[in-house]
Amino acid sequence: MASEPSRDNASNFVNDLFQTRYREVTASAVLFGVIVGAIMNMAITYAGLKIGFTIGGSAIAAVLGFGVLRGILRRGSILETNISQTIASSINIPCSGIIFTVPVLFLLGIELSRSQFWLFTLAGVVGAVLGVAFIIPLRKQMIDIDRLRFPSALAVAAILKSPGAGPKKSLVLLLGALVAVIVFLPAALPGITTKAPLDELDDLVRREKISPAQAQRTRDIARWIEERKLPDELVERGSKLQQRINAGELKRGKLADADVLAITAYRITKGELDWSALESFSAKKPLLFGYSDLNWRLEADGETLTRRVDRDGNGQPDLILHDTEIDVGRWLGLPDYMLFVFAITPLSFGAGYLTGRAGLMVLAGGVLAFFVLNPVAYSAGWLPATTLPDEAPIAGYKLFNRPLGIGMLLGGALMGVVASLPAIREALKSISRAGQAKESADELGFNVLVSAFVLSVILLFVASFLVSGTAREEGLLGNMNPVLRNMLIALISAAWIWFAGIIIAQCTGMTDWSPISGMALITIVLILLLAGPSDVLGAVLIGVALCVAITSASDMMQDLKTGYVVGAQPKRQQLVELVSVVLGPIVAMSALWLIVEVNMRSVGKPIGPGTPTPAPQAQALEAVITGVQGGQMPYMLYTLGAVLGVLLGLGAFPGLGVLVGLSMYLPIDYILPYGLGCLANMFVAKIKGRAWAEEWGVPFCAGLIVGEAILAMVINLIILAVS
Amino acid sequence: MRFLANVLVAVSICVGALGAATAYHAPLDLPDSELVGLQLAADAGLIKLDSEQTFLKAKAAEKSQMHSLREPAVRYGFQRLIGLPKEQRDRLVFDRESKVVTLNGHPLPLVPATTDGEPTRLNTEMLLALRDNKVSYVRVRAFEFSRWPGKLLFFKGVAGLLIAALCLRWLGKRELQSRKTSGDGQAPEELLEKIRDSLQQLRSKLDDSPQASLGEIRSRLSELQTMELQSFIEARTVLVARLGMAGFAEVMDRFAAAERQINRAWSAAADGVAEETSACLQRAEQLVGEALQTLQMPTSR
Repeated sequence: MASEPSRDNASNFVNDLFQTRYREVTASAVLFGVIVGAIMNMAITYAGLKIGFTIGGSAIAAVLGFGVLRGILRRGSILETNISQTIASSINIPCSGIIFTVPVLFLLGIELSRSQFWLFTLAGVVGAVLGVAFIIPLRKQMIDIDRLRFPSALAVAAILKSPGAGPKKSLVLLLGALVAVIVFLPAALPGITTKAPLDELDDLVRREKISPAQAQRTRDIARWIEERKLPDELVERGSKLQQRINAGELKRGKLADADVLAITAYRITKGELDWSALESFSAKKPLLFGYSDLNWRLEADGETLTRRVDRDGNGQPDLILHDTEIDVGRWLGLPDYMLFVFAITPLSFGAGYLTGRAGLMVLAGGVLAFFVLNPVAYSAGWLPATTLPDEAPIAGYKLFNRPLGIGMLLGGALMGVVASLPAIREALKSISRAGQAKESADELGFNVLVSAFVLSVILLFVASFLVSGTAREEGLLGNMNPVLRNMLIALISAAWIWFAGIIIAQCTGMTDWSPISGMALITIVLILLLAGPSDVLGAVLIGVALCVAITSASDMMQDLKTGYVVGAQPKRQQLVELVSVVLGPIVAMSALWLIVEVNMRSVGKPIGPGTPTPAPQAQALEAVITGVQGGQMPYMLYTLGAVLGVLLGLGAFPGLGVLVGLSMYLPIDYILPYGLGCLANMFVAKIKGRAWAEEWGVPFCAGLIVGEAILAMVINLIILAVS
Repeated sequence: MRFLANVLVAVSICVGALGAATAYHAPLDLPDSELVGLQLAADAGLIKLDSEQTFLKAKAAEKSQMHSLREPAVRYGFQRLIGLPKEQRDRLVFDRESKVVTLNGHPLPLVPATTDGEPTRLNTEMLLALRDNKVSYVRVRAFEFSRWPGKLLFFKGVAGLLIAALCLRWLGKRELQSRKTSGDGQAPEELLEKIRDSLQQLRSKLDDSPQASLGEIRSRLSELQTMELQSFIEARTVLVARLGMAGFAEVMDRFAAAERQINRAWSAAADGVAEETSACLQRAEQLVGEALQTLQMPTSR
């Protein structure tokens, strides 16, 4: 008898989820979302390891869903397409967290056993569930009450609504996408490369397509292959390195590009590899045209070229218009220590427009970092005396802008949470009320979320315990019983994942950017401090859970915002995402495993420089880990930044610290076009009125975002196919 | 006043950040006892030689030349140069004008941040050379409050931010107070009533001729979304002033639920599903009523 009500509940639940009056959650939407999400996940995992490129994929899934469900199958409703993009993006997004963290183990020379590989996969799955479960209760606060913009979510909603919005708006959206393709194409095409012919090397150096050093190495390699003879010192070095690897003194992952070349040379002489293996070290040339082919260069004063005009030393003035950016600062003749570069990215411009006036504060951090701090530090001699003027921006970024920015972000976010407490309390009360009153309940109840949380913390504990083992470490919790220590680490990690999830959701809500690298950095530092600096496996394991959690949390919130705009029921979106998000880490880790296996067979190194997948994002995290281990972390700068972030939030706008901090540590070349987009919104609203700016500007800028995202995806698929 | 407070925020954050940027600087005018043993976090000083002749001798690694060098910075620089591998020494260049030695176009540090992969620890010889090299600060790995040269600057920034925050809060309260009393723009209650009436009209129109009016309903809902709903959202400051943050959140909870139903009605109308459109309009109407009720409720907030 006791099972009857639960059977009724289950039946009601299924009927509610798959209600038929207005198609929302359907088998075709779910299947389509799973297939698209898995394919995008695998493609982006490889692309991310190769060139550091990742995208959320909601916009692409929305366009594909639109085309397949509505166009080909002729049955999808707006909300059904929304569900398929929700599923696709939830499966795709965890790959960003995986490729940012797991490859760092290979870079550090740690080889994972099969069981460890599955434990890391488990950590990813746990992170994905935690991220979604933690952020769901904040939907009301962020979307209903604080009304964060989530620009990309608005763009996806504009696509979903386009069939009903009338032909004119659809045309404006298409026009935006077309403009994005036209503008972005010359920036993306040079990414497709082919082997550089020897007789073109000088010309390629002159055109700044390759460096003089790359050209020289290509000539050397060609000569070695032709003469079938390798330099003795290179082979000897390769032999010594191979011996050290065989003796276990050197890890393959720690090898530099030049070391891999030496080992390859040695293995060729031993007959283990073919001479063609050397060709992967030769320079590549772009197959198609790019902006740099317009040859817009600085003007040289006088006959001799100084470093101010010719930084790369190729004997002619440097380019102003590069393939992917335009150096406005050098064109205007600003001092070399000021960086004023615009990336060619319609997507950032569109996101800025959709954010509007509120996003303008993002510019403030960029201005502070690159136009106040760096120039003053350079002029006052605070940077190392060996720093050349044009190196000042990057030196300042590494020495103080980045840690201060991350600190400010944390302080600002803390202030934002404090200021939003009444709204959060009210949102939670509302969810609780709905659960008690057994209303139709638009949101998932606390019981589902609490169950997901408890299960995730237990799994996190198990994974952490099995990976870190029972060894005593010299961290803050080093002397504790290993079970208790790992339990505490799992709980602290879960709490931190919750807070980091809020930060990321706030950042994407306000600006469309998610500071994943900053949060990963804090996580690694936190765990290494707790567990001891040698517990890299444990720290990266929690890092995997966190990175997957925060990317999933921000994706969940973006999807819920899109859902809000098209009128989807949050509960249905939350349920499908909570289930489908589990697949993401499994697909990404499987793709990673495959890549590692192939690399080991072809170049003898799992991942990193010298392989087809250099994992640029993980290299940044590797620097953090070695920094913590070497005692190089500027903890006081993080603290001082956090103090400033809290104080910034004390004034009229609690989120100010988040915006200023975020833009202090993000690349200025992406902040500037974003700021331009914010200014464009204000300008259009002033000239044509706010209603016009919204009605026509939003679909156009949604088109800009979608156009660039799709083109980038297509170009990267071509790159993968060509390589 | 608000403008001045915002200027104070901008100036204070610049000042505070500048002060913070020097947290790991160790001024070289401190006594040796406070500096010896500290680990460098960045390269310090530049190798500058007194003449091209000295440079050529350094390039040729003539150790005997060391004894004739009197200036500590030149002597230390010379010592550094002769310690470099021959392959690197061959590529060194001397700039006659600045007397700086470069390798591949980059000046060489007098004291590098790392030696043999380990962080360099300052010693008296290095300090002597760096001071002679006119270096004022070195960047070290350990923070020490008493050593921090920019602490005053940082605390000035903190004080400025605090004052600006207090001013902005006070101004905000005053502004909210005046808005509460002056009631500029359309009152939130009126907006909600207008939305409810519109929804009622749309629903009765839909009931009269379900399929025929879907297009019209969609276009009217679009207007409602961009006009009345948007105006209510923009009344946030007035509502927060009247109800407090918790009260505002309570109203917005209901209002947002209604707005989502209106959005759903729009989508259903665009997809030609009249039954769902009607049901959503009905729910939205009810939720707007609840928001209005919450708004009018006398509370102890």
